[in-house]
Amino acid sequence: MADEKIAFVGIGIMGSGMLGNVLKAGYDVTAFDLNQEALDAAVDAGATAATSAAEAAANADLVHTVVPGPPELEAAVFGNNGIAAGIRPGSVFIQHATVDPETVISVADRLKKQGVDTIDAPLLRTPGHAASGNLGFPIGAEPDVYARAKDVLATMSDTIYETGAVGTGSALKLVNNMLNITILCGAMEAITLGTKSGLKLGTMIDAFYTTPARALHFEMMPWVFENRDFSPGFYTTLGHKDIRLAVKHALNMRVPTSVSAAAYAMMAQAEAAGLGRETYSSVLKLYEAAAEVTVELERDKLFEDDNV
Amino acid sequence: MRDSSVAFIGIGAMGTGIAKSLLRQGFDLRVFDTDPNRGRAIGHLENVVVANSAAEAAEGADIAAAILPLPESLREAVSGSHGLIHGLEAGSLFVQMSSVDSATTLEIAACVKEIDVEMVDSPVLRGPDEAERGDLAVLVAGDPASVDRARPFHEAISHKIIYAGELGQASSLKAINNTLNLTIKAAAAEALSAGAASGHQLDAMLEVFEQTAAWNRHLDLVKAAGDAYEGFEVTMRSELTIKDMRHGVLQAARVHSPSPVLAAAYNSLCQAANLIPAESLEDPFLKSLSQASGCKIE
Repeated sequence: MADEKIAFVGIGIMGSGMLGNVLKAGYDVTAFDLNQEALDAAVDAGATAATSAAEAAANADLVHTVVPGPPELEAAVFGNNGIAAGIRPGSVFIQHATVDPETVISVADRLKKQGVDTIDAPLLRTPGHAASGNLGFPIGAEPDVYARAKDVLATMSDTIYETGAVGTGSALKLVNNMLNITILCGAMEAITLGTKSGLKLGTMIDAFYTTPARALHFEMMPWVFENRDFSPGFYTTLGHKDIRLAVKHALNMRVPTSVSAAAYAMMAQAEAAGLGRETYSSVLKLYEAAAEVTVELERDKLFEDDNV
Repeated sequence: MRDSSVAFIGIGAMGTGIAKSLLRQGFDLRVFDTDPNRGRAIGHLENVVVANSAAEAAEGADIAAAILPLPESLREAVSGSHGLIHGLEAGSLFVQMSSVDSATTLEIAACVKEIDVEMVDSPVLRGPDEAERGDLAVLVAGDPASVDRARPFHEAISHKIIYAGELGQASSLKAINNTLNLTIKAAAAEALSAGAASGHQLDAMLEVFEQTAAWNRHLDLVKAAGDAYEGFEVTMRSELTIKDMRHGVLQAARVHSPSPVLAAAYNSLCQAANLIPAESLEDPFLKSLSQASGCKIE
């Protein structure tokens, strides 16, 4: 049903890719972003520019927000000229930020008072997947509400997981990211420790990859280790925020996640050390600094031919 | 066929499979285990002689190998009153496969060097099933000539030989590998528990994790278990798992490489292992989290 009118608030790395796929599918899209360049790019791609989030939401049946986390979501919806100021009763609000369940439930409850239903749909996978329309969405929503946005969401994704009520999509996303980031920190500690013990990185990778010590980060980001290329990727600042929210949520559920909490502390320190806009594997630099060592690859490629 | 034998010490979970792989490749074995039942379990096989001590196993052997659970067992097997050094001839090679800390490795190497025996530091990766199939990965460190000399032995028991450098470095690599392995497991246990406490089904969590860098071998095995899921797979009793992690964490302290996440996983394992009977193969991480939170993963 490309006759639903769509609004997009937040057109960053992920949002721009998503918006592109919605436009390609023939939908009428009104966009808003605080960043003028991002807004101009959206217009070039075929969207109509709004002068505020409220204005973007005012003419839309489905309103999407792609912003980093809880404070940005709160501001986008309930800030000055925010979505709530313009969105019509009977519309559906679809939030794609990575936030804690409490935040999205609170937003949903307040919007409900305005006659607006919410879909909790955080994003899985990378900017490349956003651009190609291959995201994964954990969906927390009432089935009849999800049904209204199903087609639009399908233009941006190839996998949907209906997880239950609003809040459950966010919980699953947080837990996933908590595990991702904790494994990363463990792996970076291991290679720093190995280097300090006189081992070479290639040797360590060869060993890890024959056992469950195989951390996928190595094969997903070989350039980090081959070229010391720490360009994002997934920003450290987002990784920090996600694992902080995740550990907090786990505590609310009475699950003592002590290993993940140690990883959270490292990500907080990484951001404080100025690594916020680098890829999250830049946490390696903190370990290297503490051990006074640099992890070096003794060959051109992280993986030899027979490995991966 | 070779015209001298291998003195093989330690016919436990790993030793049995390794011994069988050696036999398949034509090695003659003189075996010893402090538990006489274990020696007898392979004693009936062709080209196996069961000896009454490590020293006796070493008679006529130009290669000795040991795979034992603890540093004390290894020391006893090498330099105890009936240990290898009382039977090995000068010029023999000792393939040390026990997982011990690098300090013990260097100590043992120095000990056998006194009787002119070269040692390679050679712990193995993967488990009893792979040992049986000759499908281990071996780590090896030491003098290059000795490493070369150990090659036929290693090729008989593994599909991959990874050279780690100087004596002690293979032991370090093994400890670090196992510590990372278990840290990933601890993290996965926390994630599944937090997800379950939030109301998520195991299937849904696995489907999502598999899409991202959260995925790992421990979850692969959970997925493969399907409806027969009963927790993480455990192939080694927790006393030995704790030993490996302790070596990793001690290594980090020794070389001044702060490793808070690995240390947190080690601490978590030590606490959790108290909940499990010593010989049990139940996973301690999941049990501990489930007890703390009341969550159930299904």
